[in-house]
Amino acid sequence: MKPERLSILMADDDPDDRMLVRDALNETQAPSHLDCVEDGEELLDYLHRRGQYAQLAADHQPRIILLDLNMPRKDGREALKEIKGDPKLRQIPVIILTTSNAVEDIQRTYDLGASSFLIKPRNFETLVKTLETLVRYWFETCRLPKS
Amino acid sequence: MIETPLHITLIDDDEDYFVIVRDLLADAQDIRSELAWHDSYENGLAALGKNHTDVFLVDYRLGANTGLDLLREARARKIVTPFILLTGQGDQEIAVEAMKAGATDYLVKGQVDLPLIERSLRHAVEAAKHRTLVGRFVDIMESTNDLVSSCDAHGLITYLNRAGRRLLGIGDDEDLAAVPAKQFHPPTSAELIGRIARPTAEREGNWSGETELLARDGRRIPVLQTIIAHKTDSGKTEYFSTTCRDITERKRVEEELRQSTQQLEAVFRAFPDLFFLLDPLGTILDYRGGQSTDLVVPPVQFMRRRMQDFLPAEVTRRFNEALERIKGSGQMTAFEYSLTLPRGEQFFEARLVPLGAAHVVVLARNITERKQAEQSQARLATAVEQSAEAIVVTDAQAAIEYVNPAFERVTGYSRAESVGQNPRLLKSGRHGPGFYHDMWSRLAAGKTWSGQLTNRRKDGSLYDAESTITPVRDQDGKVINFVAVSRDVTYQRNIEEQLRQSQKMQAIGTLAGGIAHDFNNILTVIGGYCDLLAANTAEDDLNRKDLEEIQKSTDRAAALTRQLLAFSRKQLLNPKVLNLNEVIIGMSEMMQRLIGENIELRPVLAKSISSVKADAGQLEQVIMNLIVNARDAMPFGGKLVIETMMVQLEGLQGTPPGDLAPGAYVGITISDNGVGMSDEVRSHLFEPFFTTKGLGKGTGLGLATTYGIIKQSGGHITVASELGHGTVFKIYLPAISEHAEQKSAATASPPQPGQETILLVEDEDALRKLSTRILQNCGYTVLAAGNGREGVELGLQNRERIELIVTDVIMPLMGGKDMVKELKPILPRARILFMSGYTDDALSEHGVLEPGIYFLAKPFTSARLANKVREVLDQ
Amino acid sequence: MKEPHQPFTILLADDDPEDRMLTRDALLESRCANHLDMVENGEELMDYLNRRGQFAHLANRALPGLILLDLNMPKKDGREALKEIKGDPKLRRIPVVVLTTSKAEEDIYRTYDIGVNSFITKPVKFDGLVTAMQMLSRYWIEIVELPAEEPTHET
Repeated sequence: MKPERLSILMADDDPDDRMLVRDALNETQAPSHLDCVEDGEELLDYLHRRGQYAQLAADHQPRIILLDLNMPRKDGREALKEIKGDPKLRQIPVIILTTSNAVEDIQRTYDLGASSFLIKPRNFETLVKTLETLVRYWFETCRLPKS
Repeated sequence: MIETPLHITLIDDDEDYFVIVRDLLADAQDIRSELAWHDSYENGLAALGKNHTDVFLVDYRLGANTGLDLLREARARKIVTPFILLTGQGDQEIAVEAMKAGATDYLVKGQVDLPLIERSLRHAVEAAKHRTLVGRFVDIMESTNDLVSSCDAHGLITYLNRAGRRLLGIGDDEDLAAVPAKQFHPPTSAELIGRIARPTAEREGNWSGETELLARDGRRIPVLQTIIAHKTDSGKTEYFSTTCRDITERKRVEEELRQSTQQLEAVFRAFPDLFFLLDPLGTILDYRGGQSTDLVVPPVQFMRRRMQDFLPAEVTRRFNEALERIKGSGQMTAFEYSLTLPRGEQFFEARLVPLGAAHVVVLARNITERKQAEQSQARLATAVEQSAEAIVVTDAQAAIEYVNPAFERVTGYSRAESVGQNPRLLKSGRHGPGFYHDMWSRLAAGKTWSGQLTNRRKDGSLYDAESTITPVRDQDGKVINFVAVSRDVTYQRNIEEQLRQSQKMQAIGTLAGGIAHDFNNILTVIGGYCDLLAANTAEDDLNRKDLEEIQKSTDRAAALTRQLLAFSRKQLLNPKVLNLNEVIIGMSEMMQRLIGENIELRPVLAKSISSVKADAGQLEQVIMNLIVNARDAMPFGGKLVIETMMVQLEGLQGTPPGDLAPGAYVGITISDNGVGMSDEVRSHLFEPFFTTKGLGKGTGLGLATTYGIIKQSGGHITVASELGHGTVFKIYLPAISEHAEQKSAATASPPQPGQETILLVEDEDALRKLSTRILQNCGYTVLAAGNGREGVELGLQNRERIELIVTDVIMPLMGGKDMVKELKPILPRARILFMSGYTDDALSEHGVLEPGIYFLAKPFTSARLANKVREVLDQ
Repeated sequence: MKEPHQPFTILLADDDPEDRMLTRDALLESRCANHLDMVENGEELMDYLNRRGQFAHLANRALPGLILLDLNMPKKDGREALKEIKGDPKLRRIPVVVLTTSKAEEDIYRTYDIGVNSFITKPVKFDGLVTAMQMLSRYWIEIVELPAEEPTHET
């Protein structure tokens, strides 16, 4: 049964970027639900239901992960590697959403198994449109593995 | 001849006689007369003094009374009119008596005929006249103010007039007959009169001179005395007459004048000024006082000459003008002039005063000293006024008495606002109370204080000053003023600071860049070998896991290196022509969301600005970074201003910040009125890993990266801040002309194996070995060299075969660029692929990759190397 | 929006010629102007990608920027091909979108597990397909950064 909205887990250390994405998602017509973590460690904790996320319901896995690359403690590249190396987690599509436009990052993350790579737009309208497209693509067009 | 009708009054009781007289008079040829007749003594008496009568004809027999009675009566009434008595024959005694009584004449009735009566009348009239004259003279004598007296030849007083009596204190009635005149003179005067005056008068007729009278009360009265000697026909002195005028007053006045003149003389002698008395034309009538050294020519030359004749032309002109002025106004006028005198140029002030209509007084004062003092004071004042250093003069209690214009400029306080204030109005709050206490102790002890101060301007901004404060003493040694001289060193400090910062940043940048370069090479090697190993390791091999760990760490390290490189300004950017206004407007909604409602976002975008060339994404990051920083500095709200403007950075005065060349720049200013930052924080702001956030939060690379991005875009970023007031970031980016440089689209990369021969030149052994292996794996033939020299050698030897040169740039002995230059003629067909951590290295001086030259950034993966090589070969 | 992209080839692997046509038409309908290459099965797919066999002539050509992969194909089905692709360092970064009739959970799970980038069940109706292709091209062409692109300051 298809859930009512697309549940997204976003990992980004910048509270402003988190806020902007949340606001932009609210502006879109597409239905989504956003949870946030601040860095790679929290991301893995969340996915593994450990640490501060130990109490989280087991079926609460996100359908997609929006992943920033540059984060303290554990950055996006490392987290991506871990996720894509973990048989329990690697099915979750990971979409990189970062400020970096470095070619190496793009190539490397695709190599590591990221599903797609997006550069954070700095125009709010663009951000809204981008996220709308993203949510609609993943929610309406694509099939996602059962969470 | 008696001209006027003679009024005759006849008093006779005999009417017949009246007729006779009347008829007689009517016949008179020589006398015209009018006759009045009274027929009785009583009528006659009543007529006395009533009507004008020139002569009385009076009969002796008048009934009960006689004509003599009438005569006496008349005389008693002081009627001096001549009386002619008419007697009968034989009244001889009566006639004599009548004469004695004062009758003028007598006539015997029976003998009266016309000639007789005529003669008698005439005589009477003459006598009357005479008597009138005498009377008049006596009146005059008696009424004059001067003393008039006469004495006989022996000096005995015969007459003294009323004035004389008064003067001498003698009563009117006192009989002075036979009183010696010298009684009324003090001895010296008496002597003078006796010995000299009278003899002179006798000789020459008169003598005049000053003598003294001696009054009864002993007073000596100075008089001007004239003595006249009256002689008989034979020449013998009959009597002396004298007139004495009281000159007491005159003498007093004379004495006063004499004293006054003496005083004036004394004053003139003491007067340093020159005094001239002139006539209205300028002729010098008199001259007094002054220093002889102030005179152009000696007095003997100028007396009686005109001023204008010996004064220099300019002075003469002024002098004439002054004369004109007083002629018109009658008031004092003054002018200044200078003369060249033996002892040098002297300055004078001349004052002209009209004195009556006929004279002009000129006072000339030497004002040279005053002028010199004025000039030297003026010089001093100008020096202070024009000094570029701020000068403040206070009184002993530190109340400001004077500030110069430099002070006004530096502090923003006008002179009017400063005078009366205490200098603590400049207090910045940057120095503790101890600082000022020390300063004051020093000054109070009379010592000079020197040091650095941070002061606050009127507008609240701060500036640094180097000051020296000196106490000023009077001649008793008491402190009467303080003088503070200050130099604003803020500008200097700023420049020094900027230079320090810039040098530091450069040093860090160079260091970081250098390290990163080496790091890159190492990482490339590690990563490459990892890949090779991984390719040869089965997926379920335990070693695989370890390799992944190694790769993970390598990735991490590469990320950090990237950021360091960004900071050290060597980053791969994707520059495009941008309009900053459009960029900012494009971001404005996001900005507004980010900063929230409490903060007012104020864009102030210049109407027209030039374009700049920068990586759009990076620039947006930079701007967003600064916006967010500004927002974070205003937790309770505030104002955030983002401005764009054209800036012309000059070479001279306003030294461009950083190391920017003078020219046109587009400026972005992001300013907030938030918490600001301390100098300490500000000085480290752009350093990598410097963060004020807590541990585990942020990477601390935001502003360092920002700095790097801006620098690499050819610009500069500065920050100014004040704790509690706010912060301003200023970005300068070079303005470019409107020709947009379009970069062509990238080409795809075909990662295909090949068999070409490649010349590989790399000085790092490990990397060279690895790259060789990678390329050989792809099927290429690799000729490897360790530096440029070797590369040229190999090139020469294999010129037919080599299709591609893959080379590092920085190498010992000969670098990549030089090698390529040498090889170009030898291997014209070969393509060039530069490997480097720095894009700049591959660029020509014009900042452009030339055609036929390709670039591969380090660190690269083996796949990347292979792909790139293939791509380049396929061009 | 990202930079105007460099044109890339979309590779469609589907054994059914009609499906291939429909997909192509749907892409055209959605204004997707990219060059479309087609292969019929898994083997062709791998030959194509490796520039070998009948596709050796493509040696100098860039690899496709996006692969649309049907699962059920003869000779080598999509699942195997996917595995090969995602196991090959040279190929694994190319985004693969499974475009299949299957909506089996197993397939969905498995392919994501192997590393597929997205999984699309082909809509039955043509306009549904058009919509899907629209979304697909909007996503992969307009907003996503593809790995094939090079830094543009190189000539």
